[in-house]
Amino acid sequence: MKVAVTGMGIVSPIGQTVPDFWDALCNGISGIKEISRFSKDGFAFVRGGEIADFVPNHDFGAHAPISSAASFMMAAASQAIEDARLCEDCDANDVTGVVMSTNFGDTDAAEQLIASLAKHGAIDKHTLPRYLFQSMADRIADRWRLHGPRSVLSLSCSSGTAALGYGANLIRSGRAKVVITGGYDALSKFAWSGLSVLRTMTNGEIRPFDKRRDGTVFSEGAGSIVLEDYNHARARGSHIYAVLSGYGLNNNAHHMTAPSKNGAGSTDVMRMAIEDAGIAPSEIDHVNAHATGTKYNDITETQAIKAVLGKHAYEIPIAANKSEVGHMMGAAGIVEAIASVMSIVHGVVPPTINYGEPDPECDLDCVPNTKRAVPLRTVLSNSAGIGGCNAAIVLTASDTNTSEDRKEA
Amino acid sequence: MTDSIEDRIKKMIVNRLFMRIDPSEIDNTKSLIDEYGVDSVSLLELVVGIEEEFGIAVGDDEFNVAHFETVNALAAFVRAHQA
Amino acid sequence: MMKPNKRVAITGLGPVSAAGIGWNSFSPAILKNFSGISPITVFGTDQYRSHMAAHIPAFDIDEYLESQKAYLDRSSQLALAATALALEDADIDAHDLDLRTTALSLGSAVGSLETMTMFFQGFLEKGPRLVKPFLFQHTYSNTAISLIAIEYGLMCMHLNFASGFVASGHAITEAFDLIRSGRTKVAIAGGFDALSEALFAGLNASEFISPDTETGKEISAPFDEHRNGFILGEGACVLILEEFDHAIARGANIHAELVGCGMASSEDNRESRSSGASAGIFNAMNSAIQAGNTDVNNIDLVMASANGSKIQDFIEANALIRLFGDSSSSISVTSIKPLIGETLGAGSSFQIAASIAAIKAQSVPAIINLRTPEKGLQLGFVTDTPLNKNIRSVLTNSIDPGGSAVSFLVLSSQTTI
Repeated sequence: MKVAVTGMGIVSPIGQTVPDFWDALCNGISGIKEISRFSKDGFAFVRGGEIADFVPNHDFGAHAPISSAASFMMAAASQAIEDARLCEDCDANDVTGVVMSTNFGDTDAAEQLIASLAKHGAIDKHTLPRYLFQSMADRIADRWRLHGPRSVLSLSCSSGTAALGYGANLIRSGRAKVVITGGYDALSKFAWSGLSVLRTMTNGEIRPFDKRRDGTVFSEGAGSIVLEDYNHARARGSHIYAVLSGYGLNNNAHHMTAPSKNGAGSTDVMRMAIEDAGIAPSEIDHVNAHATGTKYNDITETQAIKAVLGKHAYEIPIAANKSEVGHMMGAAGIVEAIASVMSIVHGVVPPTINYGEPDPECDLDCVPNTKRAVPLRTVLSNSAGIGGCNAAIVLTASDTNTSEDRKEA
Repeated sequence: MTDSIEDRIKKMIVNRLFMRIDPSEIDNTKSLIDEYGVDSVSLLELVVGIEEEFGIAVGDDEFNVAHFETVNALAAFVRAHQA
Repeated sequence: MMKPNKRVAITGLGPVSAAGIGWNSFSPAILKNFSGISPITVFGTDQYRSHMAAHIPAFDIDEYLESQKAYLDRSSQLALAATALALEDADIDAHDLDLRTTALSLGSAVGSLETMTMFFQGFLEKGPRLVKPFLFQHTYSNTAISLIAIEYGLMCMHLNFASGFVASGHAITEAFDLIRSGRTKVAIAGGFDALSEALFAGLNASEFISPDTETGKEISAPFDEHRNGFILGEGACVLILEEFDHAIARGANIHAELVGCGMASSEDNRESRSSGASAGIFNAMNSAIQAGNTDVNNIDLVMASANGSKIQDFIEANALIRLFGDSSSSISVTSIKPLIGETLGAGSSFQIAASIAAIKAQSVPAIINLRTPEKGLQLGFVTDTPLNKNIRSVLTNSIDPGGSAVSFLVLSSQTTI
């Protein structure tokens, strides 16, 4: 069963609509600056992709979220739902599901809960229910009166890509005709302090694949993609941006934080996704890489891409969206999937910015500093996260025949 | 008698890494990584431990495994910063 | 042409609960209505309205792992132990599994909340520079699943659900779907959640849990007219789901067959007793039954989600009355939550295990604290003492207060439909 992408929405540090985001991404605009969400006192790293000028695009009434994290997600989901022309109250047959994903969820609620506990202070009755990750899926489902399956995945920084894979499988399994997927995270004292002491961040520029790279930069925001049973989408005349043709999820099974040797987990997850899409590795036209800008990720990922694609890896463009957007944590996978879809639709690969000094260990074509026009039919998008989590998806042009079409023909 | 820097470091290591051994069992000259199963995140934990225990700041450019490989290396690092 | 769906066998059970650890301890405890609920001793409860929980006493993770671990959040400990027990029960050496066709799918409502609390209290006391990176890596929601993958070398398909009270229900449903479609042969699936003061304090404030007041005592009394909330339980329950022919081929002991899973949702059911709110669980049950190609007349027992919540027990009872129609007053209904507590993300998984216990023993545990059912809720509640009866199929439900519902149809391994 084919799964179509029929709607997209985004709240990112470089754009709060899909067209704005895409323009900024192609023009190499960086969303990274000093953060101001909380006091920087005592923090070793102070640059991030903060969304300081967030304007909610809807009046959510009783469903209005309280935290930044939930606000970003509601705004991105509302754009995607509007883009997919899913009408208000149209889920009469209870066929629309919601799959959210996040690393940290509503950290405001967690921080309040823990601070109250430390002071033996009163805890608000809504704090714990708000912290439950499932409340994000409920908020969206309630706002749009959706009564299909609703769930939340949390697989560290592979969460967003994992949500797309799981959402697609809900459709393949016949559990939903439409699934609103989402990934979100906000900057918080909790996450920022932990990520700082792990020393994976830089106070300089984020430079994926550049020899001078010395760390990643974390960002906040949300992305949302509407997945839909292809025939359902065709029947209601939806605009089909692309097809989500395959996915893979796995764990390095090696170490909580250290990369696996030779990128074995990453290699394996890309192969899972390609095999699930029923295509040959040589059919991949472009890789939207995880490319965090840390020393080890970019080397391991380069090795893994080469292991999967062989010589073909040198013939295709590799994107590193985090050079502009930063690492949006639980939202990264969905945001990069949106970029991948736009690359297919427009035949353009956005540049890897801040690139100057080639690294012989990262020797693939990362489209340095200037976007490139190139016709694309099939894109592989990678994500990975702490705990050894990996996820990959394959997106194809909507007019591309998948293996299922071939089988049916 | 106050504990030596080495003893304080060993106590700190055992506490912070939830090790189930007595601090005195750690050999000052043996690799924490090879002998005591200290991994990359545990090394970062020891950096924070040194910062808290001895009130020093470890710069990003100083975070080098060689400085933290053994108890003796950690003690030398602390002494250099206290001097 | 669609390929026929594969069948799904349950070949391993790894319960870690306050009423018993391991199948040989859990099953008899449930069947004789042993309750693991007791006064909380692991932290002080004077400042709270409630003082009870189903806490697992005398649990030592070292008994379950090949190598000693320095630090593990309690939720990770429970999940690791449940996985070890499930694999052992299924007679599977995880290192021998074909990773291309193996899946690891778990869920929990709050994950490593206790370690998060320790970590962030460090932030509050000492500031951002002196927080502990060692603890931070254990705060992620996926900590347990990652540690399990590392422990057993499971570089395979994995999913970690953070979907509240239905988390293990979602994890098991996805494992079921992956096996049915042919992508997976063996799935390690289930859920976990641990007792911690942060969780208890948050629930205590939320008014979900049964309070100890002058007018009523703290009790888990599903469907009772005087029920006033749930009692929290901790635990982990992991199941081994296996493609039926794969299980037969390796001569596995098949505990039961999982023939249907349903997932649905409705409007928020924390405050509304409307029929709309019961549509989620109604649709989930219907979909599980349809997947099993059967009808309500062939269901022998309902393992209810009911945990003593005023609203959700009502909603579930009404959905059951609507589903079973004329036979609703005679359909056997029980709940194990007065025995193991409301185990949040582990609940669906425990209930499948309890359903299997009932099928194997041909005996239904009673809802021990149910004295007088709320007026109008006419179902065949099993009360006071276990009921011996012929049980071939069990429908088991889980409901999240936010509106999600899952339902499973579990069939005796001797039954064919």
